[in-house]
Amino acid sequence: MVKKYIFRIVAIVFLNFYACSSQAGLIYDQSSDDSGEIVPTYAHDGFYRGTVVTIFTVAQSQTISKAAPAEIKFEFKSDCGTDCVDLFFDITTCSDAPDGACRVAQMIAPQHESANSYVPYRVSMYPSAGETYVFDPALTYYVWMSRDCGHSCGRYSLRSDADKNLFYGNIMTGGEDEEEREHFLIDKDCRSRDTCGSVRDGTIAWMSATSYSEELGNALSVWRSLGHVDLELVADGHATLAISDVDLRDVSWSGAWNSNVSLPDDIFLNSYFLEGSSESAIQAAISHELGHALGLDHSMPGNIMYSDQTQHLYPGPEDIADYQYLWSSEVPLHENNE
Amino acid sequence: MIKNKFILLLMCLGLVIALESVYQHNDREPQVFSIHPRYAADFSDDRVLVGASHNVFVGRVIEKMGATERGIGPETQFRIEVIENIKGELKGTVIVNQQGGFKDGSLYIIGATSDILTADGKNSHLLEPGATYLLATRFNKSEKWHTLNPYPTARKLIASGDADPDDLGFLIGNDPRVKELKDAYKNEILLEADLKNSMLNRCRFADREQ
Repeated sequence: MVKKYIFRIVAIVFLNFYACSSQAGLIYDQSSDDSGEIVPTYAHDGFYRGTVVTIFTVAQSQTISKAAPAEIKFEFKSDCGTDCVDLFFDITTCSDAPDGACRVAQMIAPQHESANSYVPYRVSMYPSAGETYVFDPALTYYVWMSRDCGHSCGRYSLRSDADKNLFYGNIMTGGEDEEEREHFLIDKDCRSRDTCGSVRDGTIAWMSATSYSEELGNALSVWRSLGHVDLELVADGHATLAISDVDLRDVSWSGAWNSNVSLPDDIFLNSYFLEGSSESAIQAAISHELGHALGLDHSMPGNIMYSDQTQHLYPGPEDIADYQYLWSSEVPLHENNE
Repeated sequence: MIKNKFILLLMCLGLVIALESVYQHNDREPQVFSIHPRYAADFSDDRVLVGASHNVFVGRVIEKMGATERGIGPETQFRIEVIENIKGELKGTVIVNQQGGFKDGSLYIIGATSDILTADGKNSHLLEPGATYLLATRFNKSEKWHTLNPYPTARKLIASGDADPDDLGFLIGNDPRVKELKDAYKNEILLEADLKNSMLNRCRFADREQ
C-alpha cells in the first residue's frame, strides 16, 4: 500500500560545504589540501545536535501523512552499547537551520542496537494525526540531527562515500527490498516456530492471574487476527507464558516481558502505573507485551511495539511487517537451525 | 615396557583433553535472557525522566552487595557513595538496586541486549564497582533501596574506576548530561501515578487524623 507513495531520490547532491561549515557543531571539519581547496571530511566519532545527516530531493510532489508514512534509510555505525537511545531528526528546506520555520518534517530512529560495523537502518517520519509533510521536487531537503544526546548515547556515525563525500540517504518505502529490510525481532536469527519468543510449535500456551482479564482478551483478539500463531489458554504446567500483576512503585515500567531459562516466560503488568488508567491504555500495555511474547522487539512510533507509553490498540505497519516476516515467511521453518 | 609408555601417553592425552574442556567451559559466555520493559512514560523527555525519579544523583559504586529475587527476575544491589545530588538530598552511602543480574549461571538484563559483554568477557551491563555514575532512581521504602530506572538516558558513566578522585569534581561540574538533568529538574513533569498515590496517601493520613 505504501508503494503508492513511492518516493524516489532523483539525485543525492553534493553538500553545500560553505553554507554548512558556517554552522557550529556541524560534522564537517574543514581542512585545506595542497591546492587550498576546502575538503570536507566526515567526523566518524559521533554526531550531535546541528549535524547535517544527508540531503535529498524528490522526483515528484509527495505528501506524507500518518496513514501514508515514509522512511529514510541510513547506514549507521554506533558504539552506544546498552546506552543506545532514540535519535531524532528534522528535515528542513534551509541549509543553515536545524529547526524553525523551514522545518518540513520530523523523524525518529528508535533505539539502535550497537554494532561495530555499518548496518542499514531505517528512520521513519511520524506526522501526527491530521498533519502532513509535503515534499516539493523543486526544493532540496536537509536532514538534521535535532536532539543532542551527548555522550550518554554513545557515538553514532553514518557511512559516507569515501570518494565523493556523500552520505547515503535513500528514501524508501515500506515493503520495498523486502529481503534487505531490517526487522525488529527479539532474536534476529529466530525464524523457527520452536524458538521464537514464548511461541512453541506455532502456539503460545498462556495462563493468567491478571485482574485485567477483559483488556487481555481484547489484546489477544488483536494479535489472533493476524493469524499463523495460536494463542491458547492452558492449565498450569503446560504454559509457555504466564501473565500476572505486580504492584511495584520503585520500577519504571508499566509492563514487562521476561524470557526465562525454563518456560513459562512471564508478562508482568504493573498495577502501580496501570491502576486507574483507561481500558485502552491497559489493553495497549498488554498488547505490547504480547508482541514481545510473539517474538517482536521495540520498533517505531505509530506501532504497538514502540517502547514508550503509547496507546496503540491495533498493529501498525511495522508491527504487521515484522509479524508477517516472522510467522508467514516463505522461508521454510527450521531452515536456520540446520 | 612399550605397553607402559603407551598407557602413559594415553593418560597424558586424556589429561590434556580434560584441561582443555575445563578451560573452554570457564571461558564460555553466559546465556543471556532479557527483560523487555514498556516504560511508564516517555522518558526521552528529560523533564519526565527527572519527574519520575525520586532521586537523581552522582555516586561512586563502592561494592556489589548481592542479588535478590522478588519474582520479576534477578536484581543486583550496589552500595554507592553519594557525591552530588541533582534531585533529592541523599547523604553518605545508599543502596542502589539494578534490575538484572546472574541467576543459575545465566545473565538477565533489562532493555537492550547488545554489547553487554566487553571484549575481555567482563560484564558491562551491571554497574561496576569503583566507577562513578549519574543515576536516576525510584525509592523502595520497604527494601530501603533506590531502584535504577533502566531507560538508557537514566544513567551515565562519569568516570571509570581508575579516575583520579581529584578530577571527579571537574568531570561532574563539566558534564553536559549533569547540566541537562539539572535544567530539566527546574521544569520536571511528575507521573500521574505518583500524583494519584501521593494524594491517596494524604487522604488516608487525613482519615487517620480524624
